[in-house]
Amino acid sequence: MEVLTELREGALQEIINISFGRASASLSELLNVFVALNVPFVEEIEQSKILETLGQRIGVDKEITIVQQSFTGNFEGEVLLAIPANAAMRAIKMMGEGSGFAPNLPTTELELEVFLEIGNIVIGACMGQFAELINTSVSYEVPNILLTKSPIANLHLVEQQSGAARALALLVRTDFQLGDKELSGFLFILFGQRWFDELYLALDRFIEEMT
Amino acid sequence: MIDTLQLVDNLSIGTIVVNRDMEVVFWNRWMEDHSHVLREQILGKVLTEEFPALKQKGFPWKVQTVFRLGNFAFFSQKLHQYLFEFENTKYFRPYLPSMQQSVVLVPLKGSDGTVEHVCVSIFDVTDAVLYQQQLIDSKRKVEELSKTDELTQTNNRRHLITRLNEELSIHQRSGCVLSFILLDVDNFKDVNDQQGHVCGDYVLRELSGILKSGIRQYDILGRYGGEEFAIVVPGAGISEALIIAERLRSGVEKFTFECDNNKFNISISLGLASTHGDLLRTPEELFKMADKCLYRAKAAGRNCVVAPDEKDDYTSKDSIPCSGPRDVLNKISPASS
Repeated sequence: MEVLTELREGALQEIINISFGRASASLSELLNVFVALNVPFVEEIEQSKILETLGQRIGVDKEITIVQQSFTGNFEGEVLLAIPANAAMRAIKMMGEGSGFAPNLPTTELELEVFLEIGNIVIGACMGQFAELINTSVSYEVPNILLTKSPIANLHLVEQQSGAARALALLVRTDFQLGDKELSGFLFILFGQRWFDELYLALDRFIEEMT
Repeated sequence: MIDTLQLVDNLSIGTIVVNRDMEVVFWNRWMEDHSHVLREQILGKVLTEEFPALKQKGFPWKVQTVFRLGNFAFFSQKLHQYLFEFENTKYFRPYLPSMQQSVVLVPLKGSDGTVEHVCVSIFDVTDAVLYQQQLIDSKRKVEELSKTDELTQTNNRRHLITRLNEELSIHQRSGCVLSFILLDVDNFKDVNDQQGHVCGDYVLRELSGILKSGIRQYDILGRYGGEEFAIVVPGAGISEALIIAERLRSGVEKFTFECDNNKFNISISLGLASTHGDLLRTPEELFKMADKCLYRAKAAGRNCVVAPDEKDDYTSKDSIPCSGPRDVLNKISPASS
């Protein structure tokens, strides 16, 4: 079984950093606002610690909305985009004014649609660039709202089958700002341990090409 | 080599491909069948001009994001219900106004990796939505049944206690006062014995109607058991609860019941309790106090309302002990003078 060596960790961080950089440029153009995705942090954690780790980053009591999207391909994973619950109106305004995004929906549905759309394009842009850099392609599943205006404790973690090979998860985390700090949130990418081999070998190929 | 056109034409999925100018370059048979627009009619036309309602859904924006970012985009059925409005035309398919759709927009890239076309896939999810609705409806019905007393169509005892607990926790957080009324029909056994149980049931149904129309919108009425009812009166101290209780008592007293051409009157006795500072904080404590007062009302000759008196540690100025027909009042209420 492949492990996350320092070299691979550095490469992953670099790849994600580059892809987020490219993604934020496209997003800025698309949304007509400044988009900043901060330097990501990569760590291997036990799957039982996932919720705890998310809670530490976001704040345990904070009310948030989370958009979740899974991707498939040579390796699979899921991305979570956590946005503070009170940002809904700012997000609607920003999307409407900045980009002409204007579906005709009642307010509650529109809030969710805006979050889904922000989630979908931020996730799509980031993962698209990431996949391109490591020479693979990914498909996306329908994004869904995992949590609506609730604290992170209301999330239910679906524990992967136990056994040594499934106990770990690779967590990539960063935060982002849209507009002049009008909207900030957190982005998490999770890879299950069953995909580590594929992912780490792809990283090795990237390292080889670079050197 | 398989015939790809035949394949895509026979998929049970709507498939449309548009170019950067939103012109339709592919339209499969599923789309022809459901939109009644033929392939040769729409090829080369601008999709949003042929179907202007797409603009309302934010379709052009999503198509643009796919061209620019190369991402997938989605129209969730939960939020949009559908992208293309296709009327239900079947006689034997459970109806919904329109076909429910889940839609995916996928980039089609050229050899140089740039997005040249966007493929729109439309899934008919009407059946799944119908099942989901049926499930939600059944769940709602079961919930309603588990809360309701079948005979009187008021809250049953279990749900009444649940609501009382909820109201008490609000009371504890906000410090708002809350009252509790326990009442039962005087000599109900006589109604059953003399006129039969069918008439007894009729009395309970009529009575719950009178009680419902005598309480405020946010008061919670339930059948506590047999001929005993209880009312949770949020935001009301003893004096307000007394007004409500007295209104119910006189309403029942004045009402003429009629069963098998027999006209008769009944009366009710009522006992009150109210959250009072730190006293009476649990449903049991409230019930015990209201039951004590109800017992006093019975002992005092029935057809009256009794509230806790000073001996019950109700020393607040708003704890008026009793109201009712004056003779009864005088009999049981030395503290009121």
